[in-house]
Amino acid sequence: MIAAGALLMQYTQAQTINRAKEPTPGPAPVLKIKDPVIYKLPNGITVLVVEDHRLPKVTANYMIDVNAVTEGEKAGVLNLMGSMLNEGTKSMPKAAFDDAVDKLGANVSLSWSGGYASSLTRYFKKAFGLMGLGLEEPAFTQESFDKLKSQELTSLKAQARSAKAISARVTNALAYGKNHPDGEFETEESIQKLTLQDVKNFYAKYITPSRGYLTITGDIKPADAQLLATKVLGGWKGAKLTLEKIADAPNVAKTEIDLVDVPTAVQSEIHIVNLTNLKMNSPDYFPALIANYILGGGAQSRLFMNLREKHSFTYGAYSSLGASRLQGLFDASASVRNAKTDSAVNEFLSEIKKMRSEKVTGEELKIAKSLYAGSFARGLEDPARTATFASNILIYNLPKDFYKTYLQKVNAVTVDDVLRIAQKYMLGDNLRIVIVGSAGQVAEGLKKTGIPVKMFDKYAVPVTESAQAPLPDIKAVDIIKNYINAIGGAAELNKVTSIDASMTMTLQGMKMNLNEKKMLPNKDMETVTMNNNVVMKSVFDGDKGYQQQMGNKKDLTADQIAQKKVFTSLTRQLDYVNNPAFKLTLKSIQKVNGADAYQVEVTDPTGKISTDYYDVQSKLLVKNETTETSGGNTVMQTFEIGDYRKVDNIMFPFKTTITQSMGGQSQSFELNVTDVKLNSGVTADDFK
Amino acid sequence: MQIRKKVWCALIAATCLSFSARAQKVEFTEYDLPNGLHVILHTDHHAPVVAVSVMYHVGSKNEVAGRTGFAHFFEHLLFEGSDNIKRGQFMKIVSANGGTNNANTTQDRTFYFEVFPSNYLETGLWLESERMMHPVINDIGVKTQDEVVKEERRQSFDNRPYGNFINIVARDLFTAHPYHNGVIGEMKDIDAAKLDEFKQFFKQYYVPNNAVLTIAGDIDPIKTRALTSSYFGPIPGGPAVVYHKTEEPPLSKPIVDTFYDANTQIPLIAVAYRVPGRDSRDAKVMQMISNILSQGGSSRLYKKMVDDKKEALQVLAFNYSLEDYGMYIIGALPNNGAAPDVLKKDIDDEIVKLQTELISQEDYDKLENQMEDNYVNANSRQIGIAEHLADGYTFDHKHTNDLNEELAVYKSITREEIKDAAKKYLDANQRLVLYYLPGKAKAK
Repeated sequence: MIAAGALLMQYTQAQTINRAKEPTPGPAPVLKIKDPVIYKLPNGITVLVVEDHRLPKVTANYMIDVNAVTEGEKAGVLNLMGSMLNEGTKSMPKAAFDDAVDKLGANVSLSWSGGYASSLTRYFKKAFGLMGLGLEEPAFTQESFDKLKSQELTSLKAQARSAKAISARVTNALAYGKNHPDGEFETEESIQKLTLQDVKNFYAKYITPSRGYLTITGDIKPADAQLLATKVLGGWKGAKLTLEKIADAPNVAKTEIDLVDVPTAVQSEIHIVNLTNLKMNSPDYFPALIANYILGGGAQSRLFMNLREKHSFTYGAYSSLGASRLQGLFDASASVRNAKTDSAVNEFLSEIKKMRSEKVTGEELKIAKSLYAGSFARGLEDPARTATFASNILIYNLPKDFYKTYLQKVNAVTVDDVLRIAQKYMLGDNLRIVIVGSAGQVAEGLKKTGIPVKMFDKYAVPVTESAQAPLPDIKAVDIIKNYINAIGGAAELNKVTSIDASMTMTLQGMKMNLNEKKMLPNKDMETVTMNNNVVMKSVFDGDKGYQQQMGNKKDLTADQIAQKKVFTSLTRQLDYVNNPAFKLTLKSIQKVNGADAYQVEVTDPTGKISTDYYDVQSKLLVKNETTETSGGNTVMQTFEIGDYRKVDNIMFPFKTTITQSMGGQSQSFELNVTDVKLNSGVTADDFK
Repeated sequence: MQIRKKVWCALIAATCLSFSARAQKVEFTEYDLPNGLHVILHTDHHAPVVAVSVMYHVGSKNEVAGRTGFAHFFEHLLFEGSDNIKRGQFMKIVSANGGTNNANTTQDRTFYFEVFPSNYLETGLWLESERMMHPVINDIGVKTQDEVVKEERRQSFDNRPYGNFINIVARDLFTAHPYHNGVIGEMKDIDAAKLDEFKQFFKQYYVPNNAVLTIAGDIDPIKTRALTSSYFGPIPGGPAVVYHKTEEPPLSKPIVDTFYDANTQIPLIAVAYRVPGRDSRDAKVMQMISNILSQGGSSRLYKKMVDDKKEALQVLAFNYSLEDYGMYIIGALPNNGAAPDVLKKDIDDEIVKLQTELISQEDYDKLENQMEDNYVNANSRQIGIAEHLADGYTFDHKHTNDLNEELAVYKSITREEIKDAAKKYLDANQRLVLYYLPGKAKAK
């Protein structure tokens, strides 16, 4: 003790250090990669045990090496089957099973690729037994099936308009083809058609001890782990699993842009991809890790530095280069604001080209190597990591010393290797540039890149672009006049001095009431109430106004006031035709709800643009689109208008569906008019 | 029979306790440098990894009116470089040496850390001491980080589903206390601040005597102790940081609020209560109540609302525990178009049950097991241990050993205390009812 104290005194003397210089690191630590103890059960399960007594807990991970399964018309069945494994067993209904797990304070979960159990050491036997039970005798009740199916359908609906979700689906479907396990996808239809029997069939085929790897890590002796594994899973019998043979898909013959139109998107999702045949056991693997890191692996990499730091096109741009037993994907991607979509594509391509034509610098190579060395060492903090190493060696057919010589192999990579690998796996002329975004705003710019642009729908089906229909021989102003006549004529509309409309809307079960009042020349007022509480109110009295939300009151800005003041009539189309300061342009004919409609762009005197769609047959306004910017965010609003009914002598729309989109997300709600009064019930006091 | 059973139980409990204490005790040494910097060292040679961290006892609650967001802004600003580290080099040095780093800010503290292969310990000490000793605070840095923070605000709050949820709960539950303001603050406050104000804020709060340096992992504690003196010793101490807690008057009636989030597709209905701060025993009792309500498939709200009635996609109950107070939040996401008020009623029924009936002995045993399991999982990585140790010193009255005693406290909490806390804090007349809805407030 005394000696140690003296030593301590000695060392606590501060040394003077040179702060101006980054410290030299100590000698690299020797990485100890302890081999797990490996057993094989007679039914085919390989058991890997890593002993680690630092914490009083044990974790088991069971992985079935299914690799890839073509689901075909049953797309979605594997996930659903996996979820069904968590819904109780033949002997224990779900409630009893959950209770048994929770009583231990344990975590037990199952999926189509295996199971997981983690608990305090003293409960591990029980927790692991429950995992085994879940795998071997799932209950598979109709009630659970119906519940999970409805949850799956709800979540598909919630994602239906998400540009990110569409992008992931279409990119894979186009790159691999829709009949490839990595290219197929589930849809509402495919989920609807699934039955409990389908789940049972897939279970019988894929949940099995064959090609199973059980990893047990933690506070347990290998001999005890083996006994336990034998007791719980040793008697389990199942189908013999053989890996599906899957034919390679081709890359595109020539680089192309595949564009999916999501009109409400404010950002374009860009993925630039090609298929690769990179394998973990190939000598190309380590140079490929390094090459990808330098291009787009992190926040110090070229794509990030160029697209975010230099050009501010995006919050982040990255690339990945995957090794797989099937084909992998090289994928460079970013979410980019609409206006910069084509510029971003050009920057991506020039960075890829540079990787293929020039050697990276020695400094770049050094940084990338240190990063992999460091992350390899840091990864060893996780005791399960060495078990993953061991199972990877078996599954991917790697040399036995693959991880023991990992750092040597990283260090051996040269700038010439990186160039060779970039040329081999990041293709120059066979890239698919998949863009999901607002075609109306990005297509023109993309065409200027000189790369052929092909249109696809949200399910990767080619959209045959019918030769652009010539614009009809009608003036925009006449379309507006026809509309005015269709809803009652200017004379009748001019008689309207005030409108008082009541509406209801339902937002996911929440019912709200809206009241809108308008009075000549341009006064307006709106209140939204829920359970008789006013949750929102906005008022404009002709000169000034405000918006109030839960006690938070904001005056209208000068811009907002100017935009309201340009109108002098309660039907804005009257201003369009009477005030020459409004610019009207007929853009095209578009389908709205399956019927042709004139797309008319309206620029108001303040310069604000909105787009109206008038049905060719009925002449009525059927859709309107505007873009609002608030708090730095761009929100696109689409109003779909219908159910016109006669109120006095005027046709009034009784149903409006509003869709708002922002940052790749969007959502809709429906407004239904319950009552409209013209020229009564409104006074100037309503606009205070 | 009765007595024998009791003895047997006590015996089991004692063995379990001593067993877990033996296997889990986190050993550490701690000391103060003359400038007031508190240092905690934890040694573990299992993997060649070291975590170097500094916790400054400053968060958004230290900000003054009109200057919200300062603490979080500093989290970014202090990556800009120092007298010896050029602008933009800080993170590059970390990744070029195979490390990772990050920082985060709460209402109460700011936490910076690096995790390196253990031979880079000194690099970590150099970086953190440079940051504390003489960071560069200039107009270029302020302007750059201003843009980054605005982008972060868009990504993490304004563009993320449910991103503003906690901010709204805090805004409504606190009127006098600075917890009213979210951690991210108002961008206009940062825009309006002068460079001198940033410099002043740094001098006031980022001093060694308001910080804890925690180093955990594959280290030699004696050499490390000398190194901490070399790197941090020359940094001058500052005046003691004075903070007075603002007492929040009790709520006199329920608050009902509605907030619209254009990024969400599914509403969230929640009730929220004010509870005592994190150093209190009751904060731990509330944590246990969260488990009863929403941890695992057999928890009361999950089983009833998700599995049996199928009216909810998800349920949540948690204690957002802070230094001065906590926010206790219970909520649900509807499924199949269930009305929020139906969900609220089911939540309320479960609260009443907690207030009027003792939980069963079986449920209590389950709870104890869950608390122990959570506790063991929290200490599995060096950076987690470092933060946990620093938390104990910072928030538990300089009692670093808190993490070794926490489980015993949980085990000592009785069923009666759980019932009493539910009665005392989950009062329907002293709470916020929040309808967090999809969409924008403006509707045409």
